[in-house]
Amino acid sequence: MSYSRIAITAILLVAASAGASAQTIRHEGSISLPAGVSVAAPAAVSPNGSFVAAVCSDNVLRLWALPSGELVHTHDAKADAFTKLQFSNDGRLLALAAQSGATEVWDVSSWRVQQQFAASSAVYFLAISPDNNLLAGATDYDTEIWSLPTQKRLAVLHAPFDCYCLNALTFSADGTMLASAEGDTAIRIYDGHTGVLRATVTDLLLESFALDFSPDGKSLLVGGADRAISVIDPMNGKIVRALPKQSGVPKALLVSPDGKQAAAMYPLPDRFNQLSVVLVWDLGAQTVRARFEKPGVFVIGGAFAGDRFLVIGNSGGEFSIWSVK
Amino acid sequence: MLTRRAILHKCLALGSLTVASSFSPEAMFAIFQEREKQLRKPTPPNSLGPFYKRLAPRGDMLRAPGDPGLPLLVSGQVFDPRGEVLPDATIEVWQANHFGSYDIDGYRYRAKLPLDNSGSYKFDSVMPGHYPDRVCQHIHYLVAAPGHKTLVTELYFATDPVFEGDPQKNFARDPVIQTSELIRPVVLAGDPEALHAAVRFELCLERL
Repeated sequence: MSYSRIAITAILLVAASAGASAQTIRHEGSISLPAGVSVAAPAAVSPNGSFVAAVCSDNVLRLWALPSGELVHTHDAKADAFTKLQFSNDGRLLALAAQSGATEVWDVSSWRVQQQFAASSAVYFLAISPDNNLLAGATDYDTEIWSLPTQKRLAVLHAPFDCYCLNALTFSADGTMLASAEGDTAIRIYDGHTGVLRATVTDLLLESFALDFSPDGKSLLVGGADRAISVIDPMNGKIVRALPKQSGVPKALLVSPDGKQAAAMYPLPDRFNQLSVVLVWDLGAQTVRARFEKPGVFVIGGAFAGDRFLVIGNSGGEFSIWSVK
Repeated sequence: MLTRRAILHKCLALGSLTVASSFSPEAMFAIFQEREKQLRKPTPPNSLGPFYKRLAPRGDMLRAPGDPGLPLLVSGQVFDPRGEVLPDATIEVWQANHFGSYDIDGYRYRAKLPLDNSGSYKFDSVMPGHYPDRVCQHIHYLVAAPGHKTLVTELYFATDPVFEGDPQKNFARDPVIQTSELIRPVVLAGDPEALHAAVRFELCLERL
C-alpha cells in the first residue's frame, strides 16, 4: 500500500541541547496514514523497537514494523472503545484494553488473541512482565495482576483513594516486582506474583508519572511533578539519588537494555498530555546526552535499538521515526 | 408500584408501624419526607491530578495581600449520606493561581482546612485561572473522614465563561466534568469597593 511505507530518508539534524553537547538526530523514516485518517489515542511502541501500533480515526488498529515503517497488520477497532495499548518488552505480545474492562492479549506474529481478561471497569494502565508471564491492569479502583499462561487472577491491589489515581505501572525484568506510581504521591513496590506490598516510597511530595526498573532490578527510576528523575532502591524504598531537574515533568521513562541510559519524555509546558521533548540521559554521568524536540511533532513513544533511541513522533496524520545518538 | 406514601399507609393499617399518639399519619409522613430531604447524595468524584502535593500547611487563608485575581470565599459543610455532619473530616484543597499556574516548588494556594464542630469549612482564595491543559477553572479537593470513603473531587464555577451561562447544558465542554453537580453558583458579595466572589460547596462522603 502506498501509504504504508515511505522510503527511509536520512535527514541529519542537530538538536540544540541546553546543558549538553549538540547531538545528532537522524530521521529514519515515516509512517503515513490514509488521507483524512489520524491517530486516535491510544498508540504504543514496543520497547524493543520492533513495532508501533495505533488505533486510528477510521476505526482501524494498525501495526507497523520498525524501522521500515511497513504496515504489517490491520484490525477493526472502534477508535473510542480502547483505553490503552501495551506491547511486551520483546514485541511478541500486544495487549489492548477496552472501555468495557476487557483486555485482549494478541500474539503479534500470528495476530491471534492469546488471552482475554475481564476487569470490573475500564483499564487505563497495562504492564506486561518482561518474561511475558504476568499482566497487570489498573482500573479506576484497583490494579489486578494476572498470570498470562493460566489466565488466573493472582492479586488485586486497591487504590489509596476511591478515585482514578494511578499514574504509572511497571514490572521488573524478572517479574518479581511490580511498581506503581499513585495519586497520593507514594510509589508502591509489590511482589509481582502475590501483590504483597514490599516497599513504599513516601519521600516524594508530588505525584509521579513515569517508572522503569533497571534491567538488574536494583534501581527503580521515577519521574514526577517535581521535574526530577529519582533513582530508588526498590528493596527499601529509599531515594538513592536524583538526576538534575529539568524544566518539564517527565511523563514516560525507559531504561536501556544495558542499564546505562534512560530516555525520559516530557510534555509541552501547557499541554500536559502531549509529549514533545525526549531527553536521553547518561545514567552514570547523570547528564543529558541527547535531546529530541521538533516543533509540531508530538511523541507517542520510543524504544532503545542498540545504542540509539528511536523516537516515534506524531504530528497528526503521520508518524515520523527518528533516532537519537 | 407502591409509593412511599402508600407503603407508609399500608404499614399503619397492618399495625407493622406504630405511631406516637400525638402524630397523625399525615404528620408522620411529613416528618418522613423532611427526613428524606436531609438524606444526601454522595459528592461525585473527579480527577485528582496532576499537581497534588502532600503535607500542605494547615490554614484557611490561601490568598496573600496584593495577589492578583478576584478574591474568592469558598465555604461548605461535610456530611455523610444520612445528613450527619462530619467534624472529624480532613479537607485538602489546591488550585492554580489567577494566571492558571500551580505552585510546584512551594505551597501557595494549597491548604489543609480546619473544620469546626458542625463540619463547616471555609477558605479565602482567588478565583483560579484557566490552567492551559484544562478547559475549566477548578479547585481540587481531597476529603477524608474515619469510616468513610476518601473523596477526590473538584469544584467548578457556574460563572466560568466556558459554560456560557448554562452549565447544565455546557458542562461537558470540559471532558473531565462528568456531572453538573460539581458546578456551583457564584455570588458577588461585599461592599462595592471590595467585592469578592462567594461559593458554597457542600461535601458528602460515602460510608465504608
